[in-house]
Amino acid sequence: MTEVGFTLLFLLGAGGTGHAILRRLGVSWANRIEALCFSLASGFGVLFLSVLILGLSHLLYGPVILGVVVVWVVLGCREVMLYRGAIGDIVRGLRLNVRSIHLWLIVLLVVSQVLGFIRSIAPPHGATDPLAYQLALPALFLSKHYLSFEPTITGALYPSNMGLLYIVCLALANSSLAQVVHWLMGVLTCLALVGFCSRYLDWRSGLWAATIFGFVPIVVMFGPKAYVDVGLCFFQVMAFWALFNWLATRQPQMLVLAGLLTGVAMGVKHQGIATIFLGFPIVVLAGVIGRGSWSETLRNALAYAALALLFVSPWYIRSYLTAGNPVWPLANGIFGGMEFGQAPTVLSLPAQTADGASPWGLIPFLDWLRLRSQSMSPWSWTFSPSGWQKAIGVYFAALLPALLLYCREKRVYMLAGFCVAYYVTIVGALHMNPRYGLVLIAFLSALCGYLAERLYSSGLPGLRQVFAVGFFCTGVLNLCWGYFLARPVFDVAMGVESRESFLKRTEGNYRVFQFANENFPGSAVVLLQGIVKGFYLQHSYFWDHRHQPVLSYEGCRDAEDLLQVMLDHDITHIVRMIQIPPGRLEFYPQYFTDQLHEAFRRKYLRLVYRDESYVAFEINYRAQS
Amino acid sequence: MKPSRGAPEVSGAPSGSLGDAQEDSTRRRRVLHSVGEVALVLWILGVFWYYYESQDFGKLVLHLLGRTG
Repeated sequence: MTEVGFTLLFLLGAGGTGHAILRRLGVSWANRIEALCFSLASGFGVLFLSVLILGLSHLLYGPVILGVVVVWVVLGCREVMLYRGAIGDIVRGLRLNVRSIHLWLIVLLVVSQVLGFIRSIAPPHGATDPLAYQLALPALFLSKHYLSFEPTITGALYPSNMGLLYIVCLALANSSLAQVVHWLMGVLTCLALVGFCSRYLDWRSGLWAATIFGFVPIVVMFGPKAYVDVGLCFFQVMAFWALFNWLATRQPQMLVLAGLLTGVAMGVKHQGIATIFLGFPIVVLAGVIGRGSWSETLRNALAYAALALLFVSPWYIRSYLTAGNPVWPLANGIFGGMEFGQAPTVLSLPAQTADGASPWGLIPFLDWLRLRSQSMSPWSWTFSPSGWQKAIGVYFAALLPALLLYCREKRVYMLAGFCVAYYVTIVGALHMNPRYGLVLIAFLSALCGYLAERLYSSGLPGLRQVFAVGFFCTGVLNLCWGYFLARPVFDVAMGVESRESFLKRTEGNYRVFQFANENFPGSAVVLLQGIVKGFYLQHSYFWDHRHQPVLSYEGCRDAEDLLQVMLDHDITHIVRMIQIPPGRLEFYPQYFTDQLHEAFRRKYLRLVYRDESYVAFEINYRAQS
Repeated sequence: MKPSRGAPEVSGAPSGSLGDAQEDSTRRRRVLHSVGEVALVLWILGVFWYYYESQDFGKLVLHLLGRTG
């Protein structure tokens, strides 16, 4: 249970240091949960900054990281000792009885989170993104002791605050701790929803909201793995919450906090840029509607943007200095910068095809709408999502129509309006992918929580009980699903099965990498071909895919040219996926049927390992005639 | 000018008619609201049912019961 101990230490460190900073800033809070959530977010911000400085200073060594974390935790503990009574007050403040649905909501939420926690302490396996880059990059940074540039790995120069946290986890414990930390971000988002609703709606709505959010399939699936999206969601929720507090109180400290937390959110992932794209107009609009002077409005807006950019700027500067583009490889058309394989698209709004034959084609926007309606429809995100990253669950489709009955207050209108604005942002700029905009799901949960509480507390007698029982049944079904997902990892989580044997069983790459780690020479440089996630490989490696800018086969006419490409990069070995799935052929060639790669294999590759899915080759440079 | 619906037709009419009209309106609104709530709960339960049915949760539960029982 190392992970539990470290998680508690992280909570102490973040909560304590954050609280000390906010106390000095002089921010006042509406409730204790609010104070706790903002303290935790700020405390994690401090840790991000500390590890970022270490990473840029080539100081990513285990003992140095440990030293920084110890100072951070000790500072935090001192503060927590001063305020330990307050944490007890939060729990005592929730007056609940057995007949209340709210108590059962807490039970549902706690059980679902425990099941998520069990999944998170299993060794990372299965998911591509964490093992290919979100966790693989921190492992490489730690092995090289600085934030190195790994050009063939996706997101090599992206901002990565969660990655900094994963570096700490890998340095102090293991990769499971990174998953636990990401799971913790989901728990903190649930807590934040309770605090947010306590301030703007009521705490009972917050319990509904937290339960709804905790059961969103995207959160259930991705939360206990070392992705970064739930972490992004937490910091975005906190940034917008601070901004809403500023709108309500006009406390300048809240604007400062909103700016800093926006910077933290932007530093988690490029998708966090949406925070400033919405936050900045909100600050300007607040000045215009509030009839403030232009100079004051401008000052507020610039202060907000400057603070946000200040916190994220080290990432952009690093990217600019390395690749000549602050957001490389995005927007290479605007900034120029290092060449990239096939540049990813950012905006989805421009019209697709003008199909002249159909009446839709006459109006490009309608044509685009027709083509993309399935991808952007919340209805399809509910009932027929294309993959887990679009699965938002049942509660929004079920509860949002209740707005027609219960939306009577300005704050609810404003919350609904904010959700519409963020939805448009997801559709226009975030690949129509709710996983990239989980903050929308969080605030929609708050809205649905409010509607559920209204129906439960003021609905007709009898109806409210029917609703409560119906909701509880959905919760139980969700728990069944959670149990189903957690069951396969029970043995390894409880220590009955070893991590090694579990990984051999469940992670396709693991055996070939185990062979490579044991048999390849220390100086080996490995080329990964296909969906080969490099996290468990302990050698230097390149990843061959169409987005990388390093290895290009376009100029290769024969096996000798390809050999020269390998030689140029000192590649000594290749680990290859035997059969690329048909859906991924746009990213990789089907190596064993590709003429060039087959000619190269016959002449220069020596098979050294094979299992049912992967092969490993040694490159035989001596065969060169 | 035609008097608006529910307003007293002549001055000096008994004040009870205004109260009755307001009461009628409130009652009508309350009935409408109740009908809305019934429809809402039916909608919610329908969506819940359709969702869990279409996502094969029945099979999942049976599978779990078979495994644990």
